[in-house]
Amino acid sequence: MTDIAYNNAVDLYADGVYRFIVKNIHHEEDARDIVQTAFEKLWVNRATVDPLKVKSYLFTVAYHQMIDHIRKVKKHSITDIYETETNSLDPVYQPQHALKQTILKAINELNPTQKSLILLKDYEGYNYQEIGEIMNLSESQVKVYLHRARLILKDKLIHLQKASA
Amino acid sequence: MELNQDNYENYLLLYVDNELTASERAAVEAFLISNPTYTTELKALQAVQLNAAFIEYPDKSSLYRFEEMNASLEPAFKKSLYKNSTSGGQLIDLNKLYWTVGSIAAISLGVVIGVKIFIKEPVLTQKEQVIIAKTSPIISSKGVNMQKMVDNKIVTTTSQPTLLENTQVASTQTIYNEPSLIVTEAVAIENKETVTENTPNSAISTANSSSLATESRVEKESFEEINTDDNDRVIYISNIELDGDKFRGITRRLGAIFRRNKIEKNK
Repeated sequence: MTDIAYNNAVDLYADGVYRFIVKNIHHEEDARDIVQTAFEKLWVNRATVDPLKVKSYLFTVAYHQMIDHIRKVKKHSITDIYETETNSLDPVYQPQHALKQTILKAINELNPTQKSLILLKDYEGYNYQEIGEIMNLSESQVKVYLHRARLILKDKLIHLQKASA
Repeated sequence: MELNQDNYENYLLLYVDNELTASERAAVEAFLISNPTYTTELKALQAVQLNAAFIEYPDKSSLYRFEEMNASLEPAFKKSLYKNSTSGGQLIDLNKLYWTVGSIAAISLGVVIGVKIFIKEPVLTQKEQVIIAKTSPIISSKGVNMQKMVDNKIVTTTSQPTLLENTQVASTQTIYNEPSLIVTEAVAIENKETVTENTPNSAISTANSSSLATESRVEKESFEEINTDDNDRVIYISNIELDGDKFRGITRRLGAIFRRNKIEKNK
């Protein structure tokens, strides 16, 4: 992997990796540190990393860094990201946005594994196998855990709709 | 594949996760058309899906790297540097370092002491010469005093106790007791001022005598100094010998260290 390829990887994946981490831990500075560590590792191991698997390599490293971080610091503050998203929205779409926020809150109540599964699936579009490689899980585990998370969220949404109706 | 009430949920989830083949997707869609009640479930699952939100990494430029930037941090390069630096020479043994530093300090101390002695010696000889020159008239005056003591009984009685303490003081006191002898005696002592000022007055004579006495004391002290210096020199000489022993010991120790090093190197 040349330095040009590495810098292309920065352009292509830095935002995605950062989004994945920041949506999980809700701490911008820590997320930035984790992303930086992931890219540092990529640079150090650039000779051995498969150029076709750079993205999953970055996500794998970042995910494990994040797990270590969660173990060290238990931070459960719901912050800025969602709030800024709220503020940027037009008041016309307020009811729809309220629903969206409820979903995001429900996602935050999931455990880190379930949250990561949803983020990797919905944001990055990884298939079960790829997610399994990143998160060190079997394909069937990914499927079961992800489906369980989706059903939790669906039930919460249905419950909310029934309550508002 | 066949969808039914028992397995539809799994297929809906796989449909949402985009984990189905084209034919499987078509089958799910066909099932939902024939069973519209499950459409709401699919919609609910799709509603809890996250829409791709764009979040930018704040400082992408800090992540960029270039080969030239990292040239000095290349692990292979670092390793080669380490090998070069260690293969050439041996690592310094702290014990040996302490010994060498200690021996160097001892040698320098010995040199300083030695130099001090060598500088002091010529000064001593000069003093010696001066004192010897000064002492000769005193001795002569002493001789005269002795003669006076024989001639005058009063003088002898007064000089007797002082002689016990200091022969020089006694001699000067006897000089002032007899005015006729003062001139010759004083010349012998090399004190012309006291000679001119000299009167039969006892008070002045005693004052002069005391000044003379102190001078003679100084001379005496300096005379004594010769003896002490001689003794010191003897001690210093022995000191030099002692230092020589130390020096020999240190050189022997150093030699042993170097020999040991050579043996280790040869091994």
